[in-house]
Order: sequence, then structure tokens, then C-alpha cells
Amino acid sequence: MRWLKKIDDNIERVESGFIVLLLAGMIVLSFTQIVLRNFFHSGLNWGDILLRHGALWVGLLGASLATKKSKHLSIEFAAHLLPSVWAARLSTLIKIISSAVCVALTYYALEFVSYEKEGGAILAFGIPVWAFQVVIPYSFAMISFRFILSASAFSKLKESP
Amino acid sequence: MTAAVVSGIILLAFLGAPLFAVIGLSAALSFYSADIEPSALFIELYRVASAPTLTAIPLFTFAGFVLAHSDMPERLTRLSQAFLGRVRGGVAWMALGSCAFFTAFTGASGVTIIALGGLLYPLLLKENYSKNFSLGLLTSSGSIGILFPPSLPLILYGIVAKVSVDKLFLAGILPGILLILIVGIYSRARNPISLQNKEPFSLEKARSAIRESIWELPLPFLVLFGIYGGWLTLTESASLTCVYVVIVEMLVYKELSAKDLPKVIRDSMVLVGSIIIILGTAMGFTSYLVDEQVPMQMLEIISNYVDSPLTFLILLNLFLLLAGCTMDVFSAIVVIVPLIVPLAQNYGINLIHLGIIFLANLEIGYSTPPIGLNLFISSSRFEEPVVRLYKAALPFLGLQLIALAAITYFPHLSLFFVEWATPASTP
Repeated sequence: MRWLKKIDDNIERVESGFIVLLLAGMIVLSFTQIVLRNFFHSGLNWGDILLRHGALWVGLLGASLATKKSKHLSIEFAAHLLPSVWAARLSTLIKIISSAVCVALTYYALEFVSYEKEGGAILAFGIPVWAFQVVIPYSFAMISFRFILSASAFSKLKESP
Repeated sequence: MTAAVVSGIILLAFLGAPLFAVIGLSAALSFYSADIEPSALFIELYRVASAPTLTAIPLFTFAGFVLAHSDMPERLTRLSQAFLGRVRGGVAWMALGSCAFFTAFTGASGVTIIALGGLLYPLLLKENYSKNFSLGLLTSSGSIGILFPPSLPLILYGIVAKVSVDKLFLAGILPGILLILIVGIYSRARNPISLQNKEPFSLEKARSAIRESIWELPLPFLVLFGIYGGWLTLTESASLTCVYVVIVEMLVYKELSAKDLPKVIRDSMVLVGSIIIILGTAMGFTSYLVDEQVPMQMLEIISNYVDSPLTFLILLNLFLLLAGCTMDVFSAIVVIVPLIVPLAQNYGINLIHLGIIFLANLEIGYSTPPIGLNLFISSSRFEEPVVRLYKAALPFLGLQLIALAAITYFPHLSLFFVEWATPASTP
């Protein structure tokens, strides 16, 4: 299990780096647009579409990281009201179920992207739309992986006192 | 879907399963049973996650995280103390004001209570406010700013209900002030210390406090004037805010080093990610429900019992308070708004007004016993049992409900600035 965790940590580093670059790029791009439009009466006509896909990417990569940090939004009061042993058991069970759900969602997301690929639309600079959408199945796959990883990490913890 | 499956899914949600997974599961199952390809879910996810307004969310969130990372809470506290310290009830007002300012920029995710609570709590106690009063005030202040621009819930409502975020920003101002005013007046009445015992107003202190915060004070105006002056779109105003706060916190205050920046970006995008993924799955599911005429069927049932818009709004308020104390504001908006909007339209309710009612409700729900989220956050922040906070929050809850009633029954409160800013001809 340890090597899986190591892989996961490395992926996290890559994802974080990507997020930082993307967000910085979005700020710079959007700021450039302000300057161009207000002072030079021009603009980059591909700017908006790239910005919007930047948001898609940071959002879905962020969602993937949110799984690692246990930051997904949920209705929380059960965990506050249950005794901690039961809360922990419940959380493991829920992670396993969530992981299974995300496996299915990953499959459907892949289908979605493959339909788009057949459609063959181009987004900008000759890059097809589907290439920007790959982040959707990626994110769901990572979420699924991380849920199962943290569920198993917990059960390990319980065995060794 | 059978009743057993539906109740199983609802149970899963209440046991604490991530809501995006719960919604994704519901969507996949109902698509499957309706002979629609489940991959259709992702058409909506892609559409909404790359919608033009959505870009503002990561940008404003990042700016808010930068501010939360800095010493802005301390500066805000010193500034308001310099001006309001001498006024009767001033310390409570300053708590309300600085919490509102902070929440507007950081979103109601509990950060306010954690960042400002520790600073304000001792100040309130020093004013001889009772422990319960101080805890109650801080708990309910934890979300009191969400009606002010550029709060994330306002932007999110705009995206989901498909109304202009620019207008929502204006609409929230008066209702937001009303909420603060009502709680503020009560706090003034309850101030136990007489004026003679207070520290005198010092011009020197006031001046240095202003000088200290001079770079952060213009932020709300930067956002508003950029947009309403017609120079900036929402996204551009968000990116300008980012550039501004990064420069100010890095170069002027030097509280943010280049080394911290990646961590702040990552933490803020984790929040954004958790919002976007639930937004994406929920939009796919609710658009299916709307196609299946679910809101219309709900309407048919409701219209048997409810015929005036007012009764509808009262019921809506009750329902939303319940939603607000079980769910966080982001999930509640994303899940409930698409289903309520068709109903509200049927009763002739303005969607901008509806948005403000929505957010005011959810805000109050946050500190509603027994399961409002703010109560738990306060409980761990101030190390008090949750039950004590239930009692402490009650009077404030009552006051905010009065404000909510006013916001609900006087649409003009929400629409005044909107109508004032837009010529009558445009819808």
C-alpha cells in the first residue's frame, strides 16, 4: 500500500503545480484583456474561451485534490453527532461507496469524451475540444482512486494498534 | 426509481457522503432508468464548468484566500476599534462590520469565525458583554456578509438561476445592511458598559489605523466601480482584484511571500473544485428533473394548497431554513435553486429578489440549532459545548428572522439599487 501512497503524493505534486500555473496564467491572460480593451481598444479573441477552459481545469483538478484533503462538500452533522469510532467506520463505508460511484462516473465521462472526439470540433489553435475535456474523466478517476486509498489507509490504521 | 432506492440515496446524503457523488449516483440511475445515456450528465457538467461567469469563481476565491492569509483581520479590527470603540455598542458593531467585510471576500465557509472570532471574542468580553451574548453574536456574524459583493454564493446563484450577477451584487447591499442594522441595534441596547468607562476617541489612533488599512479599504469599491462604471466584466474585475491583492499583500504589507503563493493557490482551488464538481453534477441532474417536468408536478401539488405568492414565500422560507442548517450554502444553491426557480416564476416572483431571499435564508440557517454549521465551527473555535451555543444563538436567530421577513415581503429592498442602476427599458 505504501507505494500507492507514494504515487498518490507525487501525482498531488504534479496537480498542484499545474493548478498554480493555470491560475497564474488565467490571471495574467484576463489582466492582459483588461489592458488591451481599455487602453488599446483591442483584445485576444481566443482569450475568453481559453479562460473558461482554464476554469474547467483548475476546478476539476481542485476537485481531485479536494478528495485527498477530505474537503468535499457534504452534509456533516452525522459525523458531529456520532461517537468517534462509529463516525470513522461510517466514513470508511462512505468512501468505499463513493469510490464505486466515481468508477461508474469515470466510465460515463470517458464515453462523453469519445462522443466529442467523434464530433471532432476544434476549440482554438487547432486543438480539438475533446483534448480540453480529458480532465473530466481524469478527475473522476483520481477521485475514485483517492477515496479507496484513504478508506484502506484507515482500516490499516485500525489493525495495527 | 423505486421508493427504496430514493430513500437509500437520501440516507447516504444524510450520513455524510460527498454530495457530488450522491447527485452523480442519482443522475446516473435516473438517466439509466429513463433510457438516456448516463454520459449525457457530462454535457451539462462541461457546459456549466466552462460557462463565462464561472471564471470569476476561482479568481475571487483566490483573492479571498490571499486576504485571509494576510493580517487583514487584525487591521480591520484595529480600524473599527479606533472609530467605534467609543460609541455605545461600538465593539459589537465593529464585530458585525468586519465579519461582513471579511465574509464577502472569503465566502461563508467558516473562515470568518476562525479568523476573526479569536480577535473579537476577548474584545466583546472586555466590554462586559455576557459570554452567551458574545458567542451568539460571533456565531451569527460568521455568515452575515454573504449578501455583499463579491461573495461567491451570489455569483453561484447567478450562474445557476441564469440571472445577471451584476444585478445580484447590487441587490444584496440593502438587505445585507438591514440584517446588520437589526442585530446592531440590539447589541447597542444590550451594551452593559457606560460611556464614561470607555477609552476616549483618539485622532492619532484613528489616523494610524486608516493609514494601516488604506490599501485594503478600497477593495469593495474596486469591484463595484469597475463593473458598474462599465470598464470591467465580472471576470475582469475578479482578475483585477487578484492582481491588486497579490501586489498589496506581497509588496506593501509583505505578509505574503512568493513561497506561500503556491499553497494559497492550491488551498483556494480545493474549495473551488469542491464547488465546481457539485455544480457540474447537480446541473446535469436538475436539468433532467426539469425536462421530466418535476418542478411542474411539484407546482401542481403545491398550488392546491398555496395560491398567493406570499404564502409560497413563507413556505419557501421555512423550507430554506431547514436546508440552510443541513447543507452548506454552495450545495444548497446548486441543488435547490434549479427546482425552485420554475415555481417562483409561476408565482410571479422576481428572480433577483428570490436570490436574495435564498441567500438570506441560507445565511440564517448556518446558525440555526441543532445542526447549523456555524454552531459546530464556533463550538470548536471557542471550546464551548454546542448546547451552550444553541442558547447563545437564539436571540440573534430571532432578530435575523425579523430581517428575513422584511427582505421577503418588501421586494424593493432588494430591487431598489437594481432599478436605480438600470434604465427602465431593459428587463
